[in-house]
Amino acid sequence: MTETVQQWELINPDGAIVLPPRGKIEIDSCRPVTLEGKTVALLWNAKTNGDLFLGRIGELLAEQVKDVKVIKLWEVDPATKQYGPGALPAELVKKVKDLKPAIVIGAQGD
Amino acid sequence: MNQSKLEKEGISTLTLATSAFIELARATTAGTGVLDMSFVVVEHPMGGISKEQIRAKADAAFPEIVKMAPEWRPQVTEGSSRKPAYPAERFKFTGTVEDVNKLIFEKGWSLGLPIVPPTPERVKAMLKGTSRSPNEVLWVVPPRNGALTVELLAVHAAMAGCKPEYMPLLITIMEAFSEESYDWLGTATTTGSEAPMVMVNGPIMKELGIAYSSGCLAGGNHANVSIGYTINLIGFIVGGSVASTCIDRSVLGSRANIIAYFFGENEDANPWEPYHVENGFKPTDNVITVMSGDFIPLQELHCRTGPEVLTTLSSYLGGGARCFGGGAFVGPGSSKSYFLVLSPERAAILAKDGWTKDAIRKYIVEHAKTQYGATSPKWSAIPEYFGPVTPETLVPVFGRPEEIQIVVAGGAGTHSAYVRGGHGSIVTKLIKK
Repeated sequence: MTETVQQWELINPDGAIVLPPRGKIEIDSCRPVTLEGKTVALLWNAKTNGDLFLGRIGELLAEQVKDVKVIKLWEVDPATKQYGPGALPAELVKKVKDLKPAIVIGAQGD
Repeated sequence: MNQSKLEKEGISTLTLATSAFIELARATTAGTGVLDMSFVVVEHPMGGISKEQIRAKADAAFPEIVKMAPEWRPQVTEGSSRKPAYPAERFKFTGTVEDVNKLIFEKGWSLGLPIVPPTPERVKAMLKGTSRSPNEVLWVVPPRNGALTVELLAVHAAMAGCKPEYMPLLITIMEAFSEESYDWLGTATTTGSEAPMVMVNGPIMKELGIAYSSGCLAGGNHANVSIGYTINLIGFIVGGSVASTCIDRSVLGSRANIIAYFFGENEDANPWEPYHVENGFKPTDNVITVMSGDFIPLQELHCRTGPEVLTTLSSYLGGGARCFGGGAFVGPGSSKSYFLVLSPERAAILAKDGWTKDAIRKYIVEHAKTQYGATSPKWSAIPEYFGPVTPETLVPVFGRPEEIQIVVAGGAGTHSAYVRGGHGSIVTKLIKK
């Protein structure tokens, strides 16, 4: 049986992509221009071996970047070692902010 | 993503992602309210390799990390939308129904199963099932951040063959998935095989013909299958949770990522209060409960008493309730949830022997155990009060009775199941018509 060829009007099911506004923070203005003499915080999301990887990055920073201070956040507060929507609640973000890191290097994924 | 929370507070970040997860990480970024973040890609995998291999990967990535940290600047600075969310875009096409399906599939607008062509007439008919405004945005579906309007929900419901009278139920389901505590992003992109689960309570089950007895998770029931299909069409197309684009990172996935778990509680055969009444709703309320998880069968045939049933179920649960190697110890303080889906016959035996839901939960917490040595010590953080453990120590796989939700579903026979909760939490909502 031959199917009938028709003129269709169809609706695109993919929907408009909503990109949220960037917000008030001008990120590029507060990014560091150097790591020398700065504090670098390392944030582990609890996935396997992320601590070892970040730990080695911390060692290399300490060896190669003048006067850098490296902080392993999971040693400061083990509660930072999380992922998912409940991870890093406001009080922990404040705790990180109070450490005044020039940058936080985080591991993501598995 | 943790780093985006920091960026929003003005803390600069650099994110290390493995090659298998970088696309997901980038896609997730926009959904968190930060349009551009700095990434350094590290060859996958990170887990399951030796310390020496980790060290070598860190050494190889370090030059780019130390360069990017002070030099990277965001390229995307303003939010935008390519097209309006409402009305959804219309387009013309000439061909057969088969041609329409081929087109839809090639554009990435179907899961591979046939769809009903989404014509304006069909969508208009579907919208008659709700009084909600078609331009209302119900949910911005991550990780793609597609805007799901009531109209677009009707488009997907039409594609899946739903009836207009399903719309209030579908709207409530979408609102439940949109809650942060459900964590749609996590469940839609995880390496695990979890899938959306929806359970229905209330008179609406019979009004819509929702299956709650024999084979309620199987095929052959229009409402269960078409609503389950709609859920995943939306996750795939509007949410962009697609394995082939490296956004959905499911190692294996699940057939319930095609037709989501959707069933009613068998209230007729439930010897206890139905789940929604237990949770503060009236028996006449229509309620949905959603959770992300995996159905695991609990097969037992010959138990004749409550203790026999519970001993057997606890044995199953102790052995497989949790993937210890990749998760945390499910001890006191765990926020995980599990559904124990009892067959009516098993529920009847337990109730006849005087077991309440609370007594069952308590029994399971006390008896579903596994040897500590069978878990990964790194991840199995035993609470201090538990005292010293050896590899032979039996440790509970459930921490608190309230982690275990007990419902009754299915038909004649003995087989039960449990649903192992994945990302996020249980969300229960009243269906408003």
